Amino acid sequence: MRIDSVTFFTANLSGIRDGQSAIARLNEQIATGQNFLAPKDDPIATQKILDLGNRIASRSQYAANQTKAEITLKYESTVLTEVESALKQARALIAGTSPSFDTQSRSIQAQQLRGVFNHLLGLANSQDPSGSYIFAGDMTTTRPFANAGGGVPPAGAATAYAGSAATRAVEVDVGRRIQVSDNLNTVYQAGGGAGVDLLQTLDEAIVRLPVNTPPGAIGNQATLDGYIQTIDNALNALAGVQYRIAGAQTELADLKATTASLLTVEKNALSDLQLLDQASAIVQLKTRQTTLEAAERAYAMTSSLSLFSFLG
Amino acid sequence: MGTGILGIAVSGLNAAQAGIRTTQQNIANVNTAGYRRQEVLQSSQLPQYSGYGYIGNGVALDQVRHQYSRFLDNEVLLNQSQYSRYDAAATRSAMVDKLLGGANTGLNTSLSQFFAAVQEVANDPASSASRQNLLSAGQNLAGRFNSLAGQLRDYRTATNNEIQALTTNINVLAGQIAQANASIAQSRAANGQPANDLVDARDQLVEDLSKLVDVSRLDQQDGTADIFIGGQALVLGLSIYKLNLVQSASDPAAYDPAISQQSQRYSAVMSDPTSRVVAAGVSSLVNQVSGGELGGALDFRDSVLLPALRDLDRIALVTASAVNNVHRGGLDYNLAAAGDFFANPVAPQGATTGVLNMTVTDDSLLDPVGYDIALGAGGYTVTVLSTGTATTYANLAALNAAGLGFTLAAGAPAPAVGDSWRIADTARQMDVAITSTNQIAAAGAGSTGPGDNRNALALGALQTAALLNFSGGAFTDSLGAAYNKTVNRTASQAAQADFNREAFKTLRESAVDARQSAVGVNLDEEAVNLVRYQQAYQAAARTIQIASSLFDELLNVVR
Repeated sequence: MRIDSVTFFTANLSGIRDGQSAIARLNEQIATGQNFLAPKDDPIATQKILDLGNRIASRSQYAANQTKAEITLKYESTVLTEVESALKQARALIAGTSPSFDTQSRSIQAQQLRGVFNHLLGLANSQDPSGSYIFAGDMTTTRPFANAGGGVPPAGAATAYAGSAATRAVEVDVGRRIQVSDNLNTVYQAGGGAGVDLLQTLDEAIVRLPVNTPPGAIGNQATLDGYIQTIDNALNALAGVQYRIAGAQTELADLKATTASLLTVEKNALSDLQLLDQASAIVQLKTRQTTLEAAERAYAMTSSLSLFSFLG
Repeated sequence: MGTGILGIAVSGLNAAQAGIRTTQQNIANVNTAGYRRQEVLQSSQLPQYSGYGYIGNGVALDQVRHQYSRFLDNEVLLNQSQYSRYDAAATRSAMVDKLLGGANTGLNTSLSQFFAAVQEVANDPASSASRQNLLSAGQNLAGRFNSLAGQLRDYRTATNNEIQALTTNINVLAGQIAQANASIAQSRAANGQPANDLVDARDQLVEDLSKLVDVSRLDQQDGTADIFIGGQALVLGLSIYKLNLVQSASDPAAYDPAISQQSQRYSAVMSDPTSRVVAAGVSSLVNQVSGGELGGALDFRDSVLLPALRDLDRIALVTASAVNNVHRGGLDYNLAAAGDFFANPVAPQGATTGVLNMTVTDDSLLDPVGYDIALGAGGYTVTVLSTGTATTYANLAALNAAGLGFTLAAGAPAPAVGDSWRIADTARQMDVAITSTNQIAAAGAGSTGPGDNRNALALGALQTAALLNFSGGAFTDSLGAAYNKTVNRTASQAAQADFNREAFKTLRESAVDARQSAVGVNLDEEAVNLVRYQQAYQAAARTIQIASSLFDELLNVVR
């Protein structure tokens, strides 16, 4: 075949050019550790990478939400455990007294009960680390329970509730929400009927216990039994809330485990798609280098060929 | 007889000299683009009859001919055009591909961060830190929409400029081709011999032109060549149909190449080759051009750039309207009714104070460019920006029933006669409307304190909700998924252009090799020719010496 001189001398050029650009690309891949330098390198893999990236981002956020929900619930359940023990303490104090005890004993018991009353009031007004009242419903900036105590016997001071009945849920997975706050008002007002108020009942016990004469004095055991009944009702209502929290915590623990393992699977899939197989890239680089060298050597060998060199 | 001997020898000397000169010309032009190797055609001169037969009369020079193959030339033109087309499309698509798909430039990260910030507000609705984080994430998302759309609009402007430069260059080359046609016809008429070097130069111009646009040629008897773009004449002999620009039918901000309906003499076009935007007297070439750099620029603009820009606007429109519609349903930190989170995409024009809130009901019906809406005494007039079609609806209920792909609801303050709005360039215009963290509506309607997060949860649900790509009676894709589809489509087109570029690169190279194999100069071959003609010259010179000595012999005899 006849070949013209320009083609003859430049035939090697495209080989050298291809070799150089392949080596430049491999170098960039190795330097960045990325399989694809632009989406167009593999549009289908890119779509998977982007979708996986979005899923990992939102799942990571759900994992963060789960951790926060767990902390919130743990905090609330710790406070409620304190409420439970305070209620039991109050129950024991009232059960351990009697109208037949002497005034001094009853006064001391009343004082002890006042301590428990204050503790229960403080617990009901608990704030989370960022200063929000946890039992105020959605009115997190308002101190929810107010009871100054010291009612006029035979009545205790009524409790004013300034919070709302709302509870809060957070999203812990796509479309899945978990309630992270509870209404303590249902426990503190759980006397079984309207107007029965735990703190008021305790205050009544506190202000009446030291009194010796009617109408202030606690005349019979039945009155004390009534107080105990109110505390028992509150304990029952509290147990309901605690069961709910325990259930939510179990659900969260399961969900966290699932989320963590799915995240691992998705992150691995993403690395498989995205990250370069370094060993194979280096082998390719070596091969390309050899080919390029061969092309360059071939050019050096043939470029000086000319009949004119032999005529003379 | 004696003169006959010398005459033959001289004709041989002349022939050898012509051969040497032609060989020298070939060697000198070995690197000249478009040069075709030349050779001397010679024949034996008419012999002289004598009684015992014909006696030769020396050699005649017939023609200096260049090697030439129209078939191989056309192969080069065709593959050159397609290579340039895909090269242009691939280079440009790669930029958009990297822009949309890059982790630092794409939309995904900002979109994910925005919704993560919404979740954080839902986790802790009263926290000013989480509210500040959402405000920043919203500004970042809007900013990302702005910069992506800005970059794509810059590419659109650059493509317009390129199309103008390319059509101007085509005019310049067309002028040069017509001028070469004139010279070729003239020298052919004067001398009757083909002007090889002029033809080579003209054909090289045609090849240069094929890099800019796909052309076909028709050769005429007088040596001129007519040039066509998709059946439309560009050069006819010495006349040119100049290229200009018209506003694109699909996008008012884009320009299409168009060809003049009147031809001009080449000198007129050469003195003013610049292509300009005109309104009349031209016909659009957008459907005729399917090759060359111009074809590649149009491919890129119409199948990569503009669809990406429109997708971005559509995603921005749905993001802003969906987030706003949920946001307005909630209460802010102070339990007041909330306003828009993002600036209303139904943007008030001029002194308009009235508010229209938009809900996208079928994004597949939305106009790619946008809408102008004006409230007059007769009702709402909606002008579709891509077509200019205006329709008046008596009231919003009639407008909403018209199946435009969106519905509008009057907000506060209520729209008044004289108000007007524009829905366009949403991604470029996107902005955050709220200015303080207190204005974020985390709380649901009816809540009594800042601890409520129902509206934040509803905003968070927008991340996975199907809001885009309406098909078969329902939306099919979330905001993120719809954007990923745009990235994927761009990537596929860029990859396709790359693939075609490589394919036509190989085809072009083999077409050029095949043609050069036939018409190109081989220096070794010329070296052999040089030796051949040199020896012929030496031999002819020798015969003169012999004729001279014969003549001397004769003189000696008679002395």
